[in-house]
Amino acid sequence: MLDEGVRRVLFAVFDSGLFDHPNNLSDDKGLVSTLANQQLTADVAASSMVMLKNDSRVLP
Amino acid sequence: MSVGSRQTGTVKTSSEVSDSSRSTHRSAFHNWPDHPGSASCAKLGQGDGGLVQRDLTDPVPEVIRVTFHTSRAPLAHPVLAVALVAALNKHRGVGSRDFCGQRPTVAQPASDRFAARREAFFRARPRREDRRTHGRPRASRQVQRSASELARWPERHRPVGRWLSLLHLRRPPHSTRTPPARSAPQPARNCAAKGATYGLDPQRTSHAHPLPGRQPENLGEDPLLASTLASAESSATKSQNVLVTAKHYVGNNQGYWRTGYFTSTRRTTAINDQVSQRALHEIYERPFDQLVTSGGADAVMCSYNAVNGTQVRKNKPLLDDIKSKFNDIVTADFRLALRDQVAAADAGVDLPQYDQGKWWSVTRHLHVRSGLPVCAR
Repeated sequence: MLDEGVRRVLFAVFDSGLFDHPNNLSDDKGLVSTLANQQLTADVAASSMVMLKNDSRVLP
Repeated sequence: MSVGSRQTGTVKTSSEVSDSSRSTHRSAFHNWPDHPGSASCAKLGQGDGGLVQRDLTDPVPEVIRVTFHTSRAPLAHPVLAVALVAALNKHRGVGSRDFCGQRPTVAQPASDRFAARREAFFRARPRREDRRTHGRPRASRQVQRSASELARWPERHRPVGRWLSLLHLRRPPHSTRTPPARSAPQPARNCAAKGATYGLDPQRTSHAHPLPGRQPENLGEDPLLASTLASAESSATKSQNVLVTAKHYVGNNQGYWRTGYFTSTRRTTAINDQVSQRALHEIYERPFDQLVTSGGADAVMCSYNAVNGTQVRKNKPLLDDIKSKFNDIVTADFRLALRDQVAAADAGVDLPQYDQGKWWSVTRHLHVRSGLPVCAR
């Protein structure tokens, strides 16, 4: 059971490329919530909204 | 009254002074009409019959002048006092310029005990705002706020002031909004930028209820649409060498009674989902199947709830279903999700979360950024 767990953990680490490309050293939080991202998020949210008009009383 | 005349400390009014010195000495202020030494003011005291009388027009009372000239102690003299302090400071090696924050200009003897301490005290320190921002110039709050505001709003619909923008509820018009730009997958870049090794991005819980707090993080109720979207997100995140987790497996469909509630003595168990096997396989497990096969997810996180009477972290048939489809991790949710570690390990949970287990356990003390998949951020 322990071998199985270790095998799966190591498989996940190798499969995700975490072992070959350790990216946990980069600490550039300036890339996270940039202006372009906020704008994109707002645009996506605005364009994905659907407004329904309950004309013939179909909706509950 | 000449400067050289040494008078005692008696108070003399201006009329007396002008009376006594009128015959022998002419004051320098003789032509000033209001000054006690002038000729016009000297006449004032003549008709008073020798009464003591002060001239209220004198800006500097006679008392101060007399005291100034007759003081005998040299320390009371302000110029002498300043010169004495300066001489003492120079003897100690502290020049008067040093109080402006500059370094001592006088050469120090080698045997000075306080050289290091004085050096540290007079060392040039950054100003307060520089200390707060680590040396960078500080942008005011208004500048930061208006930067995001101005980018969101087109020029002719721009809110005017700082507080007016709070009341500015109109959306930017369609014609002036910039089209959404195609960009690289941002969740993946978020993970990489934060240094996270264990992304928890594709939340693939099919919420059937609009009220749970984390419902907007999910991708909708439709299994096909959600699994397609989540697979795209998962593969994009994985391209940045981040360990991707699909969650919450399975049946976490509502927030009510999600982790159980505290009673006076113990935490109750979480909610129990009664799901038929067909619905379980075709609706609830379907996105996870696609995520771990074609989406490339590297881990599956169990949810808090129970399915058909057994908690998911102890539900061996459920965990076997998903573990037969991929080779990666099955992990538990945080904190209260894992109350019986032996039962969970028997059922097939490979990895506890970092906040589970006893305080001496290894996973509690491995740091988040150690590179090992012990935690999610």
